[in-house]
Amino acid sequence: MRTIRKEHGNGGKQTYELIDRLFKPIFGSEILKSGDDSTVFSLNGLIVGISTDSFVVKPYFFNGGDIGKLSVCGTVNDLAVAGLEPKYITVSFIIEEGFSMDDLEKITRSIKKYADIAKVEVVAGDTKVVEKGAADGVFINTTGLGVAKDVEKLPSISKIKSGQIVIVSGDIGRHGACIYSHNEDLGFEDRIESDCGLLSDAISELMREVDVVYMKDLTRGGLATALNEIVQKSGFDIRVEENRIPVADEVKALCDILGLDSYYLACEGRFVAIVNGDEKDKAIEILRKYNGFACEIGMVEESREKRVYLSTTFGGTRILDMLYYEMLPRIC
Amino acid sequence: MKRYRFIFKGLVQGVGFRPFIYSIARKLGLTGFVKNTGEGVLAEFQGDLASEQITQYIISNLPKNAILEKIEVYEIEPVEGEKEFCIIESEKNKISTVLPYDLGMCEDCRREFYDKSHRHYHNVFISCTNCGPRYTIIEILPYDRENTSMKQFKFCNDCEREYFSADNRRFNAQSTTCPVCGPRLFLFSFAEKKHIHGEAIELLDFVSQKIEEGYIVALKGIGGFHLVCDPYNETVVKRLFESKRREGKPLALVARDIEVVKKYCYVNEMEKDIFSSPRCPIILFERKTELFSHVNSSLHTLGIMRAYTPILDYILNKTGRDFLIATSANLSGIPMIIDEIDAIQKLDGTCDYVLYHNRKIVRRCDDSVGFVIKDKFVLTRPGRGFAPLRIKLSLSQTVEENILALGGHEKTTVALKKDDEVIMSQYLGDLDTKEYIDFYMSALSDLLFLYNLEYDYIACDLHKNYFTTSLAEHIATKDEKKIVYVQHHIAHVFSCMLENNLDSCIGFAFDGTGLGLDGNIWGSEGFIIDKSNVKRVFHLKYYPLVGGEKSIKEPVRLAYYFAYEIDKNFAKEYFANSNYLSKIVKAARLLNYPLCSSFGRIFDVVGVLLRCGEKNNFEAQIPMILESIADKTEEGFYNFVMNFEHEIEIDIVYILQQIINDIKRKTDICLISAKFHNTVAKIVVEVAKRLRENYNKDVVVLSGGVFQNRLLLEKTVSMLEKEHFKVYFNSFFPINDGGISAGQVYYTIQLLKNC
Ligand SMILES: [Fe+3]
Ligand SMILES: [Mg+2]
Ligand SMILES: [Zn+2]
Ligand SMILES: [Zn+2]
Repeated sequence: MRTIRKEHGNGGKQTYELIDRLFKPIFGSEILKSGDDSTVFSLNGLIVGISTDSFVVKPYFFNGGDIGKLSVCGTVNDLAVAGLEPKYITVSFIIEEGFSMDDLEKITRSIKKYADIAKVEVVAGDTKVVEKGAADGVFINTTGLGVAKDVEKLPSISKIKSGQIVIVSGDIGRHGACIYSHNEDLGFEDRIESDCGLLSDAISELMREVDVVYMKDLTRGGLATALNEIVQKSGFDIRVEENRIPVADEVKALCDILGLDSYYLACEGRFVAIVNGDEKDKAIEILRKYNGFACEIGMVEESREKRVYLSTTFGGTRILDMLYYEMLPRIC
Repeated sequence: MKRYRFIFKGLVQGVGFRPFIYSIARKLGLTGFVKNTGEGVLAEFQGDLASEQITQYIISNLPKNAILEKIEVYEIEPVEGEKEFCIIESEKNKISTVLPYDLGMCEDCRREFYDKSHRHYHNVFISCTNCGPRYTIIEILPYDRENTSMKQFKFCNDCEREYFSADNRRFNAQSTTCPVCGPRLFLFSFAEKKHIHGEAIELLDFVSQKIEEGYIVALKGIGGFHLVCDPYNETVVKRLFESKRREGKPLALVARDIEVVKKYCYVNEMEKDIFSSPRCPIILFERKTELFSHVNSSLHTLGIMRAYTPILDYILNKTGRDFLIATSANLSGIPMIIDEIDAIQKLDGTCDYVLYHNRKIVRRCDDSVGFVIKDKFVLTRPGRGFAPLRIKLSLSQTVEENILALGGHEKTTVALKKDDEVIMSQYLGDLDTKEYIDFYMSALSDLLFLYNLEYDYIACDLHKNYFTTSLAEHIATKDEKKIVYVQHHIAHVFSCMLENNLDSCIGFAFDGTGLGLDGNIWGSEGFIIDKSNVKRVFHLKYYPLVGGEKSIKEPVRLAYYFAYEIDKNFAKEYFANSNYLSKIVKAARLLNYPLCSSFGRIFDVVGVLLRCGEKNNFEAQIPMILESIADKTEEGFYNFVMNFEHEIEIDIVYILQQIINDIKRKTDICLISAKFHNTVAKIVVEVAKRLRENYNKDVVVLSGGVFQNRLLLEKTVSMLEKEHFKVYFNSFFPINDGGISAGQVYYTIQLLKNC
């Protein structure tokens, strides 16, 4: 019997196989086939975009955020990187019987707080309570709607060309590291702060000043997975430089303990932007106002192997592949 | 008057075979001709001699580098009025399957090189039919001068005369050249950022001087660049280690002759023969003295090869040293440099001078590496003098279909089966970087082009994260090939079965880590093999591979895990950074690490427990130190329990427990190491005995990287032989992952034969 395994949800190769082999053939919608997190289309002359996401993080309250904040940021950010101005959001809860009412209240207030900051209105919602054991605590789904003024200015994968510059908006891997650091059994003295946050302000200022080629927020699967999605869809290669990619020392230390690679750790408030060379300085200057670690990390290359290359500090060019059976060593 | 057509097959091109036939025909007063063909060499002899006499004469006088596999003789119609015997130029469009090897300088050339009165005195590119570059200068087959990178050097009158005189050692030798017409030497200085000009010998004198003064020189050789420096100068050795960024990885030495080696190492007859042979591999010798501990990380072996080019030989003489360091110019993650432009671009800072020539290296080929054990030369890195490896399949072992096998992930090679032969490439490296993948891809297309292979089946590993596996899947879809996935350790055993023409055995693969058929990580497998039927009958009880890939580079993680499981207090006291390590072990429990049965990792763990190190800075560093410290006179061993369910299982924890007890008792680590080695050998013997009873088999095959441990290999083979097993281990195809591609081919053959 074919069953869903945990890897199908890791945002890596298996997730894509599931989408490609099961969802796409059945749904078949052309818009869906583009495979972006948000979909932009024109409705009676108005350019609108929709994005949806479900949140199942544990713990619900972590250093730097909670599941409520996360579920607003995730969807708002997906709209923002598509070049849309987020307008409305819907929120659905699936709650396990016995879940703390106080916690639910805190989570709900957090949703309200960040929706206000992002200037989106919560316009619909739904609540389901399931039997104990049928779900784990609380699951939240949010769906957002955004609008765009100028189609021409929208970032698009088809605008990617070799020689363009890849910028990351801040240091990577904080959210994934944060969640691990909350695990009691690991005994970390200091909880790492998540990068969970809203990108809409930074992006709208960036788009006002710069002709952004393409943007993608880093979520599950981290920087490496996001870049792989870009090369798969654009057909170009991307080369990034190891010594330019900003990673906080505490994140590095945690990766060392876990034996994980920070390039694959989840982020919830970072994105990569691809811009033309002549605008990179302006772009970085703007992004630094929001996060001091924003910087250039690499470049789009012509060779069209659809690969992400990492120039390592030791020399040599490592291939940053899509995550696949993450823990299986290749070393003999 | 009779006329015979002879067809010679085997290694008969590029070894002076045609001149040899020519000289024989002249001696025996025969007329006719000889020529290279796609299949080998064809000759027609006309005269009064019987074919048996001619055959006899040929066989008893073969050129020393020729390997004659088959002679076909046909009597044909005599040709009227034929006056002489001649050599005919090669036929085009036909490809011989036999590529000649690069051969180290022969004694005759060496004598001429130092003979003031000789025309080839100080000819730094001296070579003849018995020596010189071949594999690395061939652009297309057949092996003729205009098909090599020598074609740009037009003969001077003297060289032309030698090349065309049938009684000359350089008759038809494609690499023939001299200072008048041959390649030139160039010297680039990084400090001055410019070339230094001079005659070849002046440049060599200059470079020798600089090496004596403690500089590092990159030297273009036959299959790539070497970094050369003075092994007696610890400062420069340290600098070399730092710039190669491979802390402690032993460096290869060159020596003039075996007599020099004997001063510092134990040398047996076979080692002497191979050292002096034209193949000139790096041989791992058991060393006598502590000399060069800074060169080989205090291991018990020294890797030494003969100075196989005139240039290396000259510099050795000039510097008056017994040894020089000559290590491949392969910076970490990047294959050995073969091109001067690359060398000047990439080696700034790594070395001080680049000495190169303008003969193009067509394909990269590293120095071969191996060691001698039980009267066999175990090749661990197939390169110069050996590659491409080639083996004939016996009639009963072949199938009609052709096969391409893409190998594993580390120390990769590619292999192909064409007609009744299996051919395997040189070492292509670890495919972790784009640079190595580019090398791999070009070697793959090179091989397919040279052999003009049309194949139906493509074989690869099971591991989805291997580049080679995804490549196989890509090719299979694109070109409609049938794909065969071969489990890593099954491939190891089959590589050994191939070279020994076996189709059934008890096979052991003790190895690092490879993906198993059950999704776990294997590496201590015992199989019962009957043709393509493979049954896994033994393995170590699974343990969690704490830290995943990281624990392979830092085995202290796994060592702490075992120590903590066995004795918490011991673990906390014994490991200096136990606080940190306990976090790692706790993290491991959360992250769902794979289950593992690898023996390689257990050698790591025992090594860490015996303070051989905490990290492997290069592959198998800790196990190599563990082997080095073992007291070879110790005969004791640890107890173990064989559990039988449907397979035999041994729980390694019980053995580690006894080791920890020994450590607590302050037993000498040299004894513990020896007892551990003995125990592993004994495990093989006891399991094999049990399997012999159950399956009625007494042929045992040993393969996998762990058996590069000579102490273990020697012990295991001796103990098995004492129990009257017939024992085989890899010698021709690498016992490590270099042999995986050959094993994949052979497994596929067996599969096709038996389905
Ligand atoms: Fe292996
Ligand atoms: Mg999303
Ligand atoms: Zn010679
Ligand atoms: Zn000449």
